[in-house]
Amino acid sequence: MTRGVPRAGLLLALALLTGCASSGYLVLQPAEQGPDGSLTLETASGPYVLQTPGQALALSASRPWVFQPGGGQLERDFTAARAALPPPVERYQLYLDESGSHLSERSLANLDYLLRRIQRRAPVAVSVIGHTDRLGPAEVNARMGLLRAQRVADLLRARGVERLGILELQVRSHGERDLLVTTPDATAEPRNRRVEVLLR
Amino acid sequence: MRTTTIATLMLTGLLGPALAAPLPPPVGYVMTEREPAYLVARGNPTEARVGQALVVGSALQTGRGGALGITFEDGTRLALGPDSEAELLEYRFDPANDRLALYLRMRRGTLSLEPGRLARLHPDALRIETGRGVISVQDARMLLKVGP
Repeated sequence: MTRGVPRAGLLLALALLTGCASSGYLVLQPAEQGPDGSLTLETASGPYVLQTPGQALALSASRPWVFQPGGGQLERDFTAARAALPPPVERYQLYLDESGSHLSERSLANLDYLLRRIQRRAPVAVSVIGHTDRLGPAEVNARMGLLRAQRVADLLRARGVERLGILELQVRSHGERDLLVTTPDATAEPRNRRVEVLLR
Repeated sequence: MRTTTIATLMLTGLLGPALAAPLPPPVGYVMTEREPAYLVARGNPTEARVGQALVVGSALQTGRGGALGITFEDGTRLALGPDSEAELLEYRFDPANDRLALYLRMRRGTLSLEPGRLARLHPDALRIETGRGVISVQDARMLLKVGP
């Protein structure tokens, strides 16, 4: 109870200063790697953008305001939610040989490691996603991606993936719309011709 | 015991709608939970358990001391802290057909969000509705508290 008093006082002071009361807030957190991204709050009074990690935006019936949370506020409010976050997903890229029916030697060697990871992570959902490069029509690539994914799913099934306690073995194609290496259209790029296995 | 439970559920009308039609495909799974935590599908609350499937239209609820963590098909992860409630209004992860959306209504409580592939592929695909505006999550990690 005593810990609640200073916070209530702070909120009251904020409300008095701004003439309105907060009904919650959002915080932009720093990225673990790569760009931090941004958060945009669309309201009746216009959009409000957060781009600086650590900054917060108070939700309000009138105008939202930016503030820097401090005094252990984030720990008080979010320790439980942060602790409940599931582990990050694992992504593996597998490559087929020229014929498109066999995994490359290196990918084949990785398959056993992948199966061990699935077993270790269970209960886990597994997605097998086929990808292509941007050579040729998108619809053809969507079908090609599915063939590749089915091929890898068959290999995983043949090795008993469905006996490892998985929640689901999902087979999908993203065609040429989810590139590993960004290229212009009509570009051959072997690194994009792949099958991704996602443990989630 | 089991028969009694099913009979009770049927009597209270909880099982009726669930038997009426198959549930839509799962778009995510419960990966962490601390009681009290519930998934509510078609108005039927069930105690959340690890591995349980989440479908569009479901609500996520936690009570005092509860928590609930979900991993979606694209790798987006979220967790609710205690005394929280959210509803999954829309989810599509189909890049080949340019259909990408995760739309969550946060009614109350606390949320920790780590975006996955969806937000990377489309900057406006991941949106959270609050009573005070809609948040567009542009490939960013976010904490959100809704309510007093």
